[in-house]
Amino acid sequence: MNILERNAPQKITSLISFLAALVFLPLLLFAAYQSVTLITRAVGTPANIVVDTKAVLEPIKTDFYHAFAQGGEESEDMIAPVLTEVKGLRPKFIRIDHLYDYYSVVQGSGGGMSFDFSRLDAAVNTILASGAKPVLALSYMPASIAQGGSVINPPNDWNDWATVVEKTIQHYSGKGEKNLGGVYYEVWNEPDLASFGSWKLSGDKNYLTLYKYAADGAKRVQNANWFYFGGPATTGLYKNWIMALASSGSRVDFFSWHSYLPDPKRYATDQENFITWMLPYPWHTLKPTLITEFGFTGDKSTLYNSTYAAAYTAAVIRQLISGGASYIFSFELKDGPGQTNGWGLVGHQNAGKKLKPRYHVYAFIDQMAGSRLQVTGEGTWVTGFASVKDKIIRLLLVNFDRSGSHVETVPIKFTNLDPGNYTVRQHFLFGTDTKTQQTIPDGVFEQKLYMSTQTVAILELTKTE
Amino acid sequence: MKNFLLLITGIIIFISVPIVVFFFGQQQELRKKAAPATTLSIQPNVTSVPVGETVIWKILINTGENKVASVKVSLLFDQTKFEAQSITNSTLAPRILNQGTVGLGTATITVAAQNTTKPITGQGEIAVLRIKALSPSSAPVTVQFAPDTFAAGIGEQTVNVLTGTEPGSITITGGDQSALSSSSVTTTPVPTGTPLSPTPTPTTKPLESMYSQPATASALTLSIDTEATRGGKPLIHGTATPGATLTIVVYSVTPQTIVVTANSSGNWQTTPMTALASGTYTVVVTALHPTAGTSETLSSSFTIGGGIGGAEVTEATGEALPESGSAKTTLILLILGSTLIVAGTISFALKHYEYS
Repeated sequence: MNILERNAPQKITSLISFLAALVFLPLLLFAAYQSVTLITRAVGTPANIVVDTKAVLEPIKTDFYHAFAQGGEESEDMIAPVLTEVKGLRPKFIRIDHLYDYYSVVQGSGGGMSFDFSRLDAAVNTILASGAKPVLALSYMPASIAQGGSVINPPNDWNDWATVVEKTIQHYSGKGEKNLGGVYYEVWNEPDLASFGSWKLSGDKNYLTLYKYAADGAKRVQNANWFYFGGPATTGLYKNWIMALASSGSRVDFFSWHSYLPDPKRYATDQENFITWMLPYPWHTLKPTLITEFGFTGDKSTLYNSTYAAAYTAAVIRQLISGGASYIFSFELKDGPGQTNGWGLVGHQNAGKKLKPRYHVYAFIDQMAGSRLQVTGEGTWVTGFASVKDKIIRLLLVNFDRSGSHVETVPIKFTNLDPGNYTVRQHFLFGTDTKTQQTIPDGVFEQKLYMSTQTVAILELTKTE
Repeated sequence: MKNFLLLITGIIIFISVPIVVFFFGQQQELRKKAAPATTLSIQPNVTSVPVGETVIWKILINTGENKVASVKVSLLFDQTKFEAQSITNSTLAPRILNQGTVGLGTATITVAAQNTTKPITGQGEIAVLRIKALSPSSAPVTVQFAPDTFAAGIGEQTVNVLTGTEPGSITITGGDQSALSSSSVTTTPVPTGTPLSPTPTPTTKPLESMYSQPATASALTLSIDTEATRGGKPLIHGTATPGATLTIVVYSVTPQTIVVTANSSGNWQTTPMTALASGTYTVVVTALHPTAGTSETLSSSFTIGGGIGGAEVTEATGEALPESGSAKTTLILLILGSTLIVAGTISFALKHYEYS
């Protein structure tokens, strides 16, 4: 029996607790109020958006985010069962890995090596049927040529690896075979990750050796369409990996990496870093850059099922809308079987192929096609960009908060409008879509927009006369 | 004898042909790899602007014999005179490698050629800067290129082929002060597809002359007020030619660059944008003459004592709760606080009860 049970009658304890709470609660509320005020001011800036409708900047690209990656959740053509849903995403590129450990492409080794692309062809054909081009991550080591039979090990003979790459590229890009143009071949997938071999830049498991022999294989390809060959597809943008590849002397047509970053603004920083590193190699600065997987976390998360993921994706696209990577690949197209917290945009067919919120964000942002307009006053949480096309002015705003609870009422001002009557459309992704008529006599239109947690909205101004 | 002469002639020809080919190849290589000859300049679309209006500045390139892949344009200006609105690419540089960013007194963008087979060559416009005039000036106010401006050549003798930059200047007239507070941006001309104006190459200044000149006996003076270090922001001040543009770099972990203009009396002053932590710092001031285009440099060191400086101080005011915020923190604090108070009160009450 403890002291409470021994000495304190329950009624007295409850009474004292109640009285204490009654006295201190107002004080606590006041303190919390002040703390929140201070914390809010200390960590961020609210947005105060001004769109200069006559300050026209560069054209906006809306293709770079229509790229998607499918992980190896199942050792089969995973996209086929959700082809209709994938077509709806209007994909430009779809990336797959596990070419050599899931699709039984390679048998034997050395002079006895043989190739059977039939199973991989089925997966590639599905990608083509979706309207996309394939990005093939040349991975992992065929067991028949790998040291110890492990698919994350170097081969027993590097020339066998070169042959595997040669035959793969010849098969898909060769004019006498699948005859595909513009295919990206990426050497390995996340080579720095322990699960995929923990490759280094030196030693027995040297990625540069893996890459060099792959490049040797690519060089031997005959009578083929133009294809892109690159890497290193690391788990993040790492200077030592990028610089090592850039200075390796091997063929590098593109640079790739993965980004699982909670802060969307880091994507712009990464891009800036990459270009800064590459300035001593001017020819490399002009090559495509591919973020072949991206998301807010590399771990599975139920947030991938929510509007959090949609807002995050919009916020990342905002950061890369000007001067960003050539293509960014949302990871991933479809959940694995039985997953309730998977990365997929679409649920597994066994779970009803449910479309998650993130699925809808790409088409929503496509509305922003046109020429970019000058926007000032973005904040810490609410960011955005504006465009004009066919005299219709649009402003996209996204409220993304990593902690998931920020709300904001955003003052918005459009300046330098042609005076007249306008239809103002206010369209929230997953929310209301309203239209009002406004007379704007002095060329300035102002309004406030309440943005609840993790929301994306487009404000559209169309002159009616 | 005849055969001997023929043999000698044959041997000479045999040896000389590869030698001639080799040297010819070398000369061709030298011609292919041109010396750095690229210049950048910046030109406003008007010579004077009223306060509150936006000026469009063209950033122009003349590559000379060079083939340029990409250009990092880094601009500095007096943040008390101008507020940057945007910076984007232009016709001669169709790609943006790093998005345009504008800050207090700075604007940067990295632009590029379409690909290696179509490098930037010749003269023309590679970027456009829009800045709003904030306060009137007695002399032309300058926008200049920062030292980290870079032009990356393809297949040239050196990677950075930039040899000189030419700042631009404009006079800010009184104008409508109300335009500042209302943020109502006035109508600005939009760039059109008209032919590009040539770059005024003969007047460009070598980079070294702009940023590395030794201090000379001149109007430029530099003082640092060590008594004004509250919050880690010492007052850096001095004199210069009236209207001169002063670039002040405070070297710390992350160097801070500030641009100010000397007033009509030649006085100037500023403080670091971010508070400095305790330690010793070096400040380098470069003054650009408003008309002659010459520059001079002074430097000095100063120390900030312990206990002062560090992170920026955000002062709380008596304003109402901002329109933005998060309810999560409040809830967590409420739950935690309530639990602690109740637990504490019970504990106190029980203890008191036990002893009584």
